[in-house]
Amino acid sequence: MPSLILPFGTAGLDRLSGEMAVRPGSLRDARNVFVRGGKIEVRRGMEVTATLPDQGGAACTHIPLLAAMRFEAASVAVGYYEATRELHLYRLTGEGANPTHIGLLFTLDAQAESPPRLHADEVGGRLFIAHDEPIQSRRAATYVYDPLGTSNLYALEADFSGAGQAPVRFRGVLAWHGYLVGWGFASATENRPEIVRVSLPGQPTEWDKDHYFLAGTRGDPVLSVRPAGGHLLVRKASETYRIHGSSHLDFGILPLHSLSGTLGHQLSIEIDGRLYDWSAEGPVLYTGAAEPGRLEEPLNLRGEQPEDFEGIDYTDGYVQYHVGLRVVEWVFGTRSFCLDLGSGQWSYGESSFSRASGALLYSGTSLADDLDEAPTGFPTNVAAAPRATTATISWDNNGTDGNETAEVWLRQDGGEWYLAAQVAVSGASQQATVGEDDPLVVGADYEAAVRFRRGGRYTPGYESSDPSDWPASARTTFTTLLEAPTLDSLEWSRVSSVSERIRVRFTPADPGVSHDVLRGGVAIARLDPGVNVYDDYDITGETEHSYRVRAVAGVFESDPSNALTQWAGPEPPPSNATYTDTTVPCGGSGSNTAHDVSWSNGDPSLETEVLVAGAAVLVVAPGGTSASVCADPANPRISVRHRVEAFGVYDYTRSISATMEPT
Amino acid sequence: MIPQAFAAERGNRIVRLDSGHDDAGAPIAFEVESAAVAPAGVGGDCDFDRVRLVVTSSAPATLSITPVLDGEALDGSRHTITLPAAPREQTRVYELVLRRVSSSGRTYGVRGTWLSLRIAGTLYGGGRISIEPAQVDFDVLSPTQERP
Repeated sequence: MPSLILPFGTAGLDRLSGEMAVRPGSLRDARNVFVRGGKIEVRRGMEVTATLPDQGGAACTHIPLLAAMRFEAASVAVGYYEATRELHLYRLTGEGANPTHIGLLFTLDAQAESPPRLHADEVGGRLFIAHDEPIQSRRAATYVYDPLGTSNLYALEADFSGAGQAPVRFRGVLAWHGYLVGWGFASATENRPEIVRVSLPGQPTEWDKDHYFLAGTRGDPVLSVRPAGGHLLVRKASETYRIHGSSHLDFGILPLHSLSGTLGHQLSIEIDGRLYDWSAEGPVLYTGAAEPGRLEEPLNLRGEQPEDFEGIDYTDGYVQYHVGLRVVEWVFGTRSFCLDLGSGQWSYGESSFSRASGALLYSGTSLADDLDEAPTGFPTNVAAAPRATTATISWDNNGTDGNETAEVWLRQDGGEWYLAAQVAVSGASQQATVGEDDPLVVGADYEAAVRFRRGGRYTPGYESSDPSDWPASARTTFTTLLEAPTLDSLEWSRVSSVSERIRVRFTPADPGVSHDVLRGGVAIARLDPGVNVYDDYDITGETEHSYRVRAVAGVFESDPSNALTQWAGPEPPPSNATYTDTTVPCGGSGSNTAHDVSWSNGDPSLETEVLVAGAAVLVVAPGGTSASVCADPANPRISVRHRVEAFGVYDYTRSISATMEPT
Repeated sequence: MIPQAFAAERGNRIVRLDSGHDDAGAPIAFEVESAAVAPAGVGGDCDFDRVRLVVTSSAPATLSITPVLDGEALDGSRHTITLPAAPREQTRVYELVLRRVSSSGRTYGVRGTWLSLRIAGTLYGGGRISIEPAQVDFDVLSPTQERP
């Protein structure tokens, strides 16, 4: 009986050619396999190495960025928390494990695309992170993560408008020839998405506002910048430009392809000078000089799609390189397209794990390790001064050289340790405040630990990522507590004909907590964290009111602050009021006599009202300090007070009783 | 420094790629379908008798091999192969006889013009699986007639 060979994996996936034209060895479908060397190989799996924790009770819903920190053989991930729209930065090992919370990266604008898209690149041990949001007003600043710096995370700033330093908001960044290239941002006041800017050479945080390229039509945004063939390719939706040269002395930009662009920066990758990208026509190959190579034909993307591949949004994906397999994989959620660079063959990928981003991470000896000696110094006398949501950790430096960085780690109630602060080592003793970016929990027990590092190396005995393994002298414990705020001032004023108020100002001991305002010992208002002024309109005029303030966090309350009182009216009142009885009978019947009254003005700009037996009998013009009234010599009951008119209403100071002037 | 591919989830997990035998706990299902062949030509008729399949594996898995005749998957002619876990890779040749069974229980050959193979499987443990070319035995019943 005759036979024939039905070869697999020699011609790869071919959905376009008809039965008569297809090459022997072609496959009509190939899922979760790689096609190479005349064989079909089942791909391997995905092993979970880390899970990003909740933040403030919100679960991480998306990880838009995973990036290598080659300088330290470490990596970073950014978790997006949809419930709060917060993005948090984590540091991981070079094997994608042990996430350490670095801090809040930014809070996504309410109108920005969610989940967000981020791009990052590393220059000189620092990672630059850009928010790829099309609308500039909704775009977050470009952030710098500097693990060796005293300030780990900060917004990149530059003077692009001549009005001084301001946050930079690039859509993407790329490290290239010692420069940092950023695109999509002209200045805070000018929206020029076609601009590509270049930093000063070797100084990725220093920018000259005149060092930029204009790529094509004004307003047509640059979506990606990648190297290919020794040049930089500037990619728009339907155009490609080429930046040539290697320094600002010979840089130039020329149009390269007038009809070919990209669907997004995250869909392209440069491997050995060749740029693999997913364009509107499908996957393409750029070498920087020739026409783009068409890679999409075997996939027949314009034909009927394979089962479960219908409706893929080709803009919502990213590209991943499997370095050992030499496979480029374009990932769209749970589906992917895999190009084997060795054989040029395609296959599909499917998984239940929906991927959002990917990267090559680097483990092993870091570049920082090569540069730096391990420190020998160690901390002693580690102590904590806790407040409600922050604490000051102090320690003594022993055997330090001054070029180390001190790491302060925390854990709450015996939970997982996390890196809470980093400061440059300086002097014989020092301190660091924890909880400012990531507030501590009030009333909770904490353990703090301190160690030193130089670059990526630690003092021997302190290398473990579990501070419980460090010497006990590096640790201390504390319990957060609520300190009473300070009541600073009270101020009365009339605000309308029917309304007056007392303004309460205080200084919180911890600005991260709420505060209750107490009048007469009764709480009348609760103020949000950060609010330290309260206007009390619910007051009775011409009455003295007493206030205190206390801090509140959940069920915890601080002691009340100092007390202050305020007269609900103008102040100060007159003083030194005296009278003399002239014994001269005066008006009406009975035995009343004329009394000369004098006083000192509390506020000479105000009128003074003289009262006899509680009834106003005359008003003295501002500046006046004496008057004559008729009163019962046996019980004159003379008093004075100032008054002021506003909004057609009189308000009065406290009244001062006049005493008989000694003879 | 050793580069390795990692990915992050539309969720909260980070994974190492090309590692292990499942996708974060979910088994990996794979499938390939070859292009079709017509040994008797596009107007001819063949009796496809059997297929020999060369599989090299160390991973435990189940393979199902389904002949697709003239575009129709012959589920009744599907063969299932269980690959055992093995400490090292082993190469085996599986000879799969292609037969159809009628509703009355009568067995007859797989006869038609175009034949392709669909191979599907699921990995259950660590190891590798590779599938090499298949050999198809056939008889030409009526070749494509050439016009004089």
